Amino acid sequence: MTDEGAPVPGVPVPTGTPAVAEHDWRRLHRVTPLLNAWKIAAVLVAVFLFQGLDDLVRIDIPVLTLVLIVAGAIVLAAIVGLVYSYFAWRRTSYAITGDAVVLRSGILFRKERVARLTRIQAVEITQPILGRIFGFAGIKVESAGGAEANMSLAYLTMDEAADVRNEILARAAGIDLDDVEQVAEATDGDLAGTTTPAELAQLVEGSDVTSVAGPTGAHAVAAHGPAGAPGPANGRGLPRRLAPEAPEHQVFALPAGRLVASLLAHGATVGVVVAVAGVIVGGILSDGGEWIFNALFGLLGAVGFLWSRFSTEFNFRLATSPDGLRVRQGLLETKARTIPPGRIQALSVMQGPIWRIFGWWRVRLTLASQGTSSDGTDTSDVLLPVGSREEVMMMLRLAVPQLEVHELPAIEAGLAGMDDGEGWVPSPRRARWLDPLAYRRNAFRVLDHVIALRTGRVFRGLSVVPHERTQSLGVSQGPLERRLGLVSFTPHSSGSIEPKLPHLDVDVAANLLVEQADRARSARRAAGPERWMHAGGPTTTAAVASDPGVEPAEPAEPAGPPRH
Amino acid sequence: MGVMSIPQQDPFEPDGVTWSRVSDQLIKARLIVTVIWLGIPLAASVVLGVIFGGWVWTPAIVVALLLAWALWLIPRQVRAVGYAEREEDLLVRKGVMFRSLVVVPYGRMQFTDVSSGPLARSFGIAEVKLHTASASTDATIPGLPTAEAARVKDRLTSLGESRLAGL
Repeated sequence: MTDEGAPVPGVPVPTGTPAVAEHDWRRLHRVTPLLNAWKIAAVLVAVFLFQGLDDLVRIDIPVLTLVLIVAGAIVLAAIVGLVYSYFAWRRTSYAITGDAVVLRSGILFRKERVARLTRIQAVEITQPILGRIFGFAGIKVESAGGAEANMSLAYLTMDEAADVRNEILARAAGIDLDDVEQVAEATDGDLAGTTTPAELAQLVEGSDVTSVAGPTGAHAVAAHGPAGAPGPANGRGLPRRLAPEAPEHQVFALPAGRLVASLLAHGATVGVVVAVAGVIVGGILSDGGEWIFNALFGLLGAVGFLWSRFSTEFNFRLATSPDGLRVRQGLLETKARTIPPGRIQALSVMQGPIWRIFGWWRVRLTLASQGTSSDGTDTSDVLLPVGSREEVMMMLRLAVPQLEVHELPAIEAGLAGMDDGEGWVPSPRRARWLDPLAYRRNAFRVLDHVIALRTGRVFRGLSVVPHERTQSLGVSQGPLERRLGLVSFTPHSSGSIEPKLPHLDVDVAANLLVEQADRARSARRAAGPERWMHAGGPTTTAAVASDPGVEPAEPAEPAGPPRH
Repeated sequence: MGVMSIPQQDPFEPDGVTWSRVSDQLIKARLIVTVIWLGIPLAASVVLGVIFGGWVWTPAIVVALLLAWALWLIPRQVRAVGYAEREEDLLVRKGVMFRSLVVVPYGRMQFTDVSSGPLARSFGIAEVKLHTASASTDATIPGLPTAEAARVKDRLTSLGESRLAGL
């Protein structure tokens, strides 16, 4: 790694961005061009094969020549891909400063993207299949603004990626690594002896003794954060500041058998089976025909959906750490995503009619960084691919630590309940004219820190939106609703979950609108700091996040440090 | 307010809110657009009706009814648009048959758009749109007189800054 961290020549630092010292610029791993070239070459070859192979086969040339032509095309594509990727890599560098992650890229059109640490919504380590074989990983830094706002640092070695992830999270949490480093240097890198910085104490506070990080206190930090050990050297040959990895505690692992069973019991599978049966019967009756192939081809979409659910949610695990929730998943490509405290904008729990037989639920969450990118891939938003009611409740408590124990029965009533038990406010009876099936399900419940909306009788749904995350509120009313004195209510949350509660009584809705606006306002004022471990800020968030067993403590002082 | 407020009949008429109406120029602008969009098919179908007669008149009648309905509806729609700048949030209300009301706290504002097309410009009106981090927030105030649009935008921006909240 000789030239790693060397300044990228010819790039003036644009004004207005956080000043980054030249030696703070880091390089991606030099294997990056190879890994990327492979992708570019694959695309080129695919295009070539689709476009040209028909013509090539039609021309009457010896097979050997044909093979040579194809092989030559592959080699050429590989070279083109490699050369491009090499220059792209040469021109890419990143830096992590005290308040931002900065990425410079682009061969001709230079781009510098600055992601402010306080605005980071999640950090994800992605390992594609090749990366897993050879031990490389990419990092995705998610900011609000949809998938396009994400910053990708790919590729690094697995260790490096973990270090970078930890550093970003530690800095985003408000831990002053520069300070720690000074201390560490002063004490010859013996971090275990420097338990004085309050930040480090917070890092391990509340961690379980059985947690992955092992024993308590500074030992955990020492074991996982060898700050004194020479990290990847930067341009000046100084050891890089290494952030201690926050100890984590696994709370959920999805058994593969249950995932398969849940997909077999999914509507898409039922659809495929019914369609295949229909095609077989139709084929027998009509004596075959070309339409059979077309029909089966049409099913590929559903099969692809099921496969992608299986491959992305395989080996799904959830762990808690002071840095927030850590979600790991994936069959071929694995992802480990860390969602810091207070980033979850809304949650939704769903259950279809078949899953109901097995008592299964699915929990989705949404972050401000959620969205569909231009290549059509959604950011993963699953908090629980499939799980029991107890697991749903655990996930909800982990995701919304402010939920009080005495509020849990109300949430449970939101899963399967009906009518007005546990303080739920359902649609009035006259709403049956508009929604005969679900009018007893459609209801809301206001809790101390969240509003919960319950909908659907066949496809049950429960949305949970924290008051402090409510963006705006809306009510709407169609002509039929107006005649019946009903109003639909919507709290707008950012991200991919769009909760909506139809057919409330007008009086109830009018009150709800006014009161909810008030609650959202006061909750915003009391919201925790974005730098969740910032010195002086509430430390309870970390403790609660890392130990689901304890009752969440009230934040001692709701007013956090000023935000930027 | 909030908890103390007594039950009210209409969520679209919160207590103590004085609604500002948008400019009547918006009626003219929207009427022109509608007349153009429906006028061309109307003329075409009338021509067809004249040529062929009989049942071919049906489309012409349908389009004419549609146009009449739109001409009746548009002024009402525009008059139903209202906005109110409260201390902490902006209210935007619209709709005659399908009514909706949005409450947007200033602190949640991410950015504002002021836009006006050539037609709107010739009528001296502009549209102000407030964006939050949620894509489903639909807080658009159409048909503000240009000066008022600039004032609303400036006010929203300054209020948004002073009440800035995170995501």
